[in-house]
Amino acid sequence: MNTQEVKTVGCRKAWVAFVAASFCLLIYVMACVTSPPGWSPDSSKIAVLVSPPGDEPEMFAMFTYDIRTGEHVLLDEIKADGVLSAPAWSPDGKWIAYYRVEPSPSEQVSPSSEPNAAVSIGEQAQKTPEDKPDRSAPSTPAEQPFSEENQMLPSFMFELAEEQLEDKNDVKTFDVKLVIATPDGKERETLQVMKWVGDNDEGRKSMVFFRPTWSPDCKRLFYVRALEEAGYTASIDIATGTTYAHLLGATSNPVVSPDGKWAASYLQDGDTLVVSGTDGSVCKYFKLDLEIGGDGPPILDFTFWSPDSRKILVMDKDLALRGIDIASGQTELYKDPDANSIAYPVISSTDKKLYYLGGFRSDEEAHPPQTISLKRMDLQTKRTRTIFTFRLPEIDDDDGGGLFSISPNGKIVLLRTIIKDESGEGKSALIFWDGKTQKIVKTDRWLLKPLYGDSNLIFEEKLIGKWRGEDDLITIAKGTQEKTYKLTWVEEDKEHHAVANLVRLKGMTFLGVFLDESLVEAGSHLLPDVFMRVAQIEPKLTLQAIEYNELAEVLEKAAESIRPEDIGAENISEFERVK
Amino acid sequence: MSVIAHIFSFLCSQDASRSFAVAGHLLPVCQRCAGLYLGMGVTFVYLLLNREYRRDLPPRSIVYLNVACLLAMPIFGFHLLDPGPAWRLWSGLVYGNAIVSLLLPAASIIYNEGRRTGGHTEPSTTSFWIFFAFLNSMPLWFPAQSVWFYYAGLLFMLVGLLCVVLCVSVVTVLLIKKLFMSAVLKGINNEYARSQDSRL
Repeated sequence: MNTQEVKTVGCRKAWVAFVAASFCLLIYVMACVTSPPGWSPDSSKIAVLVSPPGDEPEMFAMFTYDIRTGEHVLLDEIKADGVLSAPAWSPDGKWIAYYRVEPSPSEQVSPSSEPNAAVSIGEQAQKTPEDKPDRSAPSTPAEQPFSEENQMLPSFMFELAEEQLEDKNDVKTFDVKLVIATPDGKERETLQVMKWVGDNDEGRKSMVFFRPTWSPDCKRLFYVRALEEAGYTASIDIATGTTYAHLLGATSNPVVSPDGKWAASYLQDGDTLVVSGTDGSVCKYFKLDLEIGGDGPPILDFTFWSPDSRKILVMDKDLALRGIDIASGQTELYKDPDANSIAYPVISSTDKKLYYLGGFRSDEEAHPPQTISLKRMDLQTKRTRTIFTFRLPEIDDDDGGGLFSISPNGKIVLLRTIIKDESGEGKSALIFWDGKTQKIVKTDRWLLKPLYGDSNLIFEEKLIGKWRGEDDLITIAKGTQEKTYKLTWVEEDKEHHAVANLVRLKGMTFLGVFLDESLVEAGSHLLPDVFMRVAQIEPKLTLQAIEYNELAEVLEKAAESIRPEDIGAENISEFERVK
Repeated sequence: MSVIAHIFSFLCSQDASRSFAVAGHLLPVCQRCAGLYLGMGVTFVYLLLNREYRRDLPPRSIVYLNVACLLAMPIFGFHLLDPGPAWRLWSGLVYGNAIVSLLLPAASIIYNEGRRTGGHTEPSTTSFWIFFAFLNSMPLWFPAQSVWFYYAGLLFMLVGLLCVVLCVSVVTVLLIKKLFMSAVLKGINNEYARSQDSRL
């Protein structure tokens, strides 16, 4: 009897232990699977270059954006004719690499006009990261072309290209910095300053399409050095700073195999593929006859390696993929019978399959709304599968439609484009699709620095009421949030709404008006769409519209208080109270 | 490899930025899950080799440690504290260790209907602490950049996963067997009762 009792008690404890352990495991697995997907290499964040709409933007800023929380962090920015390249996230997620071209001396912006100077008034200033002591100090002269250790094959090509460059007279050059920054924006380091050969203006314009490439172990950074139309691929050892030249070619981005052992490029004819071992041991040439890119070598990332580093995948003129086996030279076709093209292809870092956009048309006849599919292809079986389908919203065609990218985990599609707001004005935006939702993030606001903080907000009861202007009638009511107003007016028989807050800055009162719900967006409630000086409220409401950037300059120059003459007497409107 | 990655895609977010790259290969799970499955795999092998699982549930001191490890996971798992890859791996390792330390002996006892080969001895408890110290040292050197290490890691992770599948299967089979037997016995008993009734 005793034995039986002991057995029963033991089983009960075992059942408790079994159920507890099983539940703990189950809860952990569920929590991990349902956690947000990873875009860094990961997919939870993106690094993105933001500039105001227009062909020649006067500012570039690089941000990281957390897709889940919506938080954006400024990594670097440049004004005037300076430019930043596309960012490249290291495989371990710790660094973001990019090129930086400083503004030409004539265009240099005085330090006092840097945005951070104006931000000191507000509370939510975004600070540009402090530079760590650079390996290449600012006074260090830029590295001349072919300053790297020669690992090209045959080795005489290096000397030949060097001599050819020396023989040329009046060669134009400009300095390019190779920079790495941490995703939190706290550290930044210039790895190298190098001279690129070419026309400064043209080089600057195309810089946004360039991006460095990391080795899989994050120890080396591969970069290109432009030599007018052509260039060469080189790399820098992050720890030692030693640089190596690998191969001549015309691609704008280094094409490095996943195992880090091979680099590839095209010769200037755009149809001869060159593959070189990164240790300088072997170099192979493949004549493709694929008419790649049509007008010359491809400028975007449409040449990439298979996950096993055995094949290079290139896009032919029919927008199908060709896999070139670098051992045998044999070519294999990868085509999706259900899609007119394989656009924006990427090999997923998680399942090593090919993800691409099917149904995408970049030609002018393709009118929105286009329906596009995110598709997946198993490179071994060539089986395809549609992950999800989405419809493009109306975008500004003047900007060329925008640029797509697919997250490394193959789960999110991102479009960088210009969309039209309610007033028909183009706004830079990021649009994310994950198969369930479409998320639009307007980025122009990121470039603005808050001029004021929450402590500057005030509330005047006198402002509430109906106000009749020369052409329109505005109703101002108390807003739903503290120290906010709700504005309503009718224009072309259509009722419009906006929210506003009243701000006291350096002795003057301003009305910040938000045309959409941005007031409730986290971190945006201090960046209004329209800024107006409130000259007086009684007996007449007198408002003066002022550009946000102009006001920033005025605020910066004014030591203590602003005088009306600092702002001028333009764009003044008067409103009478309607009783 | 894609099959393994596919299997783990049901169990892990496979956030590539939070996954270890071993000799140029990305592990198919995030750092914390790598710790979890490695911890489970290594503990499973340890318990199999010294046959600890057949003795009894772990002694009280080890159970307290296991509970502490299980309770520590929410702090790291919900990112209340996230000091980096080594800590993610560590939290997974001790969590995996705690789960298998409880799960395997419990499944064994349940399957054998309470029969055990005897209690824990002092040497067996000491060997556990040595093994636990080894687990805690793993984040200091993990991962070694070798292809062999990559495959060994994968193997242990699969073993860890199989351990759970095995334990759950064994207990499920036992439950089904018991239900079946009780149903059969109930039927026989009813038949016997009916025959007794008719006699009366």
